Amino acid sequence: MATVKGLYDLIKKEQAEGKPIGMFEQSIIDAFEADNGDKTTKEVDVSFVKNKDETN
Amino acid sequence: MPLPVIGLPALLQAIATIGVGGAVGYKAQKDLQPVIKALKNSPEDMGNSELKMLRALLLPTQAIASEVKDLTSKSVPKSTGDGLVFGPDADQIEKEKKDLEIILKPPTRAPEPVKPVIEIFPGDPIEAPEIPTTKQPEIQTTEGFPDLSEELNKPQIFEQKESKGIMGTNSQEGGKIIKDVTAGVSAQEDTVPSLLEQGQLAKPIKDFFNENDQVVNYKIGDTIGAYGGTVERSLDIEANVKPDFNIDTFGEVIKERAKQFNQDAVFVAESVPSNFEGANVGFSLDFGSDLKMKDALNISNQLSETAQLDGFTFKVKNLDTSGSSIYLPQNIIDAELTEKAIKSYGLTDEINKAGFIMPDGKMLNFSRNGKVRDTEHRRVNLTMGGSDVNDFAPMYDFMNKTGAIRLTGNANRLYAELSAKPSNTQLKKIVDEYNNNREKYDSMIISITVPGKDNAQFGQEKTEAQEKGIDLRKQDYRLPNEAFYEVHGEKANATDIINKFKSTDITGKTFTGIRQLNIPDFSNISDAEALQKIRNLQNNMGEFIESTGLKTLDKPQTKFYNTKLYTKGKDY
Repeated sequence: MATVKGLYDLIKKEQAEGKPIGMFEQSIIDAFEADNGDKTTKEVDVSFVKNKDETN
Repeated sequence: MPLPVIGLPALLQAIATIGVGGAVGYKAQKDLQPVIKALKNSPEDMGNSELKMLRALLLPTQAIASEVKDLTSKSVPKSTGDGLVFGPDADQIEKEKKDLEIILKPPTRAPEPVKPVIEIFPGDPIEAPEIPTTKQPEIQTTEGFPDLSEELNKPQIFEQKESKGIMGTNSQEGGKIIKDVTAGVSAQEDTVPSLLEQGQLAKPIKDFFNENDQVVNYKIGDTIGAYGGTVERSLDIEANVKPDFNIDTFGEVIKERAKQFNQDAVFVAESVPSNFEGANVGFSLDFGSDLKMKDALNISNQLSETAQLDGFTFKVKNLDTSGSSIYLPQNIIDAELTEKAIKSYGLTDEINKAGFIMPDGKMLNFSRNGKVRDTEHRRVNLTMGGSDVNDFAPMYDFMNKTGAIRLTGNANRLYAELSAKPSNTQLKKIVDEYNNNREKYDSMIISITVPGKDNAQFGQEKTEAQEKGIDLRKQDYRLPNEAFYEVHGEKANATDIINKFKSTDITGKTFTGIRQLNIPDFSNISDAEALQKIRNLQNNMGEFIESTGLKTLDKPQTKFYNTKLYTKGKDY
């Protein structure tokens, strides 16, 4: 019985073996990793709050 | 939606390598396949199923291109290569709802049927009176305007303004979307459902979304899906919902719709995490470029033949056509024919005597008795040298060539039918007539006759009156005439009419992608088999792209879905 995780693992295994990965397989990898927080990048929010009282 | 063999997996297996989420239906696939294939080469027969396909493609749509998330986040025009696409904002949505409520109100009283008339004009061929017979009843003694008697109580829930479909926003959780829900349902059986039927199909779904506090926003669009090589009109349903949304409750609504419209199968699906038990993989593909209607039809055939895709739903959008007039043919006016018609029928300033209103506002006098219009519109064919006064086709030819609008102002419903882009003068005159005579009219309808292929097929001589034109709204026999603007008990607004015509976007309708391709039989096969199906799909898509001339397909997007398929007899 196929599962998303099983499919992902299989694609990654074949990828590691040097088999070419197509756009559909890559899309599954991207979605799975995004879903599981396995990102290679992360979002960072930066805000600047100016001190209202600049004399302090 | 016809019955799948055994559940979703078998259904999708039957359609080859992959199956596609969307409105599922396979009725008469095999029977229609040869006809579908012939469509590209022979669209002449306007009464056959080819027409139905073309008709489906030509129908005005409310579907929009924007992603649902866009619907809640964009409120300013977005420039595209083809023009401006407007995303809705909250005010627009609220106005949409109000407009829908107005549309849903039934007319205050039923219109009186136009009396059948037989008239002879000077120079017309004199027809010998027919001996009454019961074998061949004369069915073309009445006008071809809609038989409203059976339709008055039908809800019309689609309102077409700019490029929007039915949509709503219950709340916005700081812009955070939890999960999305889709469903596939169609009303199509033997014939392409009308816009009214689409509205009937959609309304309880719309009501459900509106009343459910777990629904953040939703879209119900009028779209087209291809199943087994044929084309079905269906609904494109998407909603963004909160975590406590109950998919089974939604499924009950969809099942009820399937039951009412005698569909064999429907489905609902919700996006789920990848570790959800039984989760399937669904792809969305956007075309690299927008496709026109005929291209989309070609694509549907190629998907079946080359990519072995047998079912999918097009993602569609309407173009804003500001200033371009592509939404209706704008033909060169045949001044000679116009002059000839004026000479034959004379002019009138009274709309209740008029048969047609010309682009400059002049109205052809179709009254012989001097009181009301008593001459059938189809007799305008005599002006063009024809003798057939039963066939509607020459009448539409006349309208296309002269820019004339067909008028019926001799009843309590003012009715105007367009087959080409109207002039401002025409619209203003019609609207003024209605607004200035509110005691005379219960309502006003302005409709568009959807043109055939290349906007020129409608006026073919082979159009047979006894097979077509019986009832515009039933649409079983002729091209649809449904992009109407209708007002009851209120003043009409010419600007609204123009906007509505734009939204019909008849020639500007484009198809931009395919949604939610599912891997068939996913839960009953091994991981290796599933991967092989994906690779087959990939290989076929390459051939498909090459064979269809599509420049690119954008990178697919993957989501994971919990899909529930319901079948007639088993689930409802």
